[in-house]
Amino acid sequence: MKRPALLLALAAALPFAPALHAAHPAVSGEMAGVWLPDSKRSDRAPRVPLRPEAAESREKWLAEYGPVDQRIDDTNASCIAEPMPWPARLIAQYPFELLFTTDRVTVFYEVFGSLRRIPIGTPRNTFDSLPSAMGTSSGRWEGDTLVVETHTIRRDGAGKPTGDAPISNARRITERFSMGKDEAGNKQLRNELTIVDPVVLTAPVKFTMRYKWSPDIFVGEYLCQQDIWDQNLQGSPSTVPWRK
Amino acid sequence: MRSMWRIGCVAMASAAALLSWSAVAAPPDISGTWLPVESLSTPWPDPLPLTDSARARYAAFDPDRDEPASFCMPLGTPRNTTSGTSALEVLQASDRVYFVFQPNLLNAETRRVYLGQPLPAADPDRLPTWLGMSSGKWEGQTLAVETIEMEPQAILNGNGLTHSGGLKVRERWHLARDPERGRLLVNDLVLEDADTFSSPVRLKRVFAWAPDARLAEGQCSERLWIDQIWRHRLREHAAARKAGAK
Repeated sequence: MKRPALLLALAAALPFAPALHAAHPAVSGEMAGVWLPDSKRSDRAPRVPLRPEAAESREKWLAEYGPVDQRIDDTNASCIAEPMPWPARLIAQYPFELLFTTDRVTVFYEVFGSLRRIPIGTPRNTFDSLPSAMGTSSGRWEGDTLVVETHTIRRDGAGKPTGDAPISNARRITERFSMGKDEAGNKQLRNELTIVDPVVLTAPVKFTMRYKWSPDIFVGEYLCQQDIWDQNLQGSPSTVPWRK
Repeated sequence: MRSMWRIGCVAMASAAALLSWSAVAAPPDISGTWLPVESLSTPWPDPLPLTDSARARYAAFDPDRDEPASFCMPLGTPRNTTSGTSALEVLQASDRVYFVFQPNLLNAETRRVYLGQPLPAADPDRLPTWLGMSSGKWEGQTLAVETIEMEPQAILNGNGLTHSGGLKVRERWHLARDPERGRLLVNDLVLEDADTFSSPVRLKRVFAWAPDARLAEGQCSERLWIDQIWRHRLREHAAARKAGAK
């Protein structure tokens, strides 16, 4: 067959070919997989500019219910998943995985086994979404940058003196994921985060996280209650009050 | 004119070939959210074909002590798949299929099935996991999955049916249709465990397509924390304030 005829034949056949993941650009292939926080190259948790009324509310809470007992009052120690952006800004060496499927990005964090569903393009109706630790997200591609907007973040467990700054219903987090390289030329995932919360913060909070490509690591099972379960099996009383 | 006719014929033939190739070679799309349909699923066999040691373990089950779910531990595989209470989300890529359950215990139980990667040889130094290690392959329109190395602390059902570290689960996932419920995802399971079963146990689990269903974050630890600790703390403080006021 002559070349023009072959090209024409293939062109005519293209509409019938199996659909690829057209919602994602080629760079998504670089982003997919398992990543570890690069603690040396990431920003530390920034100072949070609280509005006076938010700071006052926090002090009032502490005066009312303090002193805090870390063994009991720390949500983290009680296996309550910390709300966004906590898992994204964590520099402890817990991996996470990005999985790209048709019209979707899914983030699997090992810590607390948290999971984020990020529809790409037209988000489904989320008017009735309940607040959750990971919030409700939608994403879009701006060239090779994946932009993710998150709202409806659960307030419980945050804003206490042992946790992050208070969260209001108006909180919005914007993440901009892009690919880069570190100074040694290693593949690097960057996430520029911006937190806007006009009820609580006097100004947006911005910081950048950087992650190391970790193809040999799996996102493992995070068994937060394992100690309590083990103590139960061994017949010993738990050190956690509600298990005594 | 004749050459245009030839080009047209070749184009149509190529399109038809590609179409038939994609129908034959492409695996079915099983992605999306699915809800269990108990009426189309099979119950556990009665009586269970248990070995003597398994029968003794079964009889000694104490739900207050031996039910991992009461301690916010995972259901584990295959209970997450067979419980009939957990919605399922399937994420499908060319080299892997993930089965996500959020059974109100952990934030998520994600069974990762890697396609075309054989299971590794047994290694006594490798610890079992609650979700096990899975390998899968498409056999025509059916996804065949084998899972090994599941944590023996997990139980197989709410009645306390235990298993050993030698449990092997074979699954065959495929699509079907039901006149009432429409699109179905069917899972034919075979559980083999010489320490537990005197013969393989066969189960069928059926899920109905539920594109508008949403899986939500688990609340197990949070419920315990809020109910048992937080409110208790607030009561303590309130009592202390009252005592101070007197």
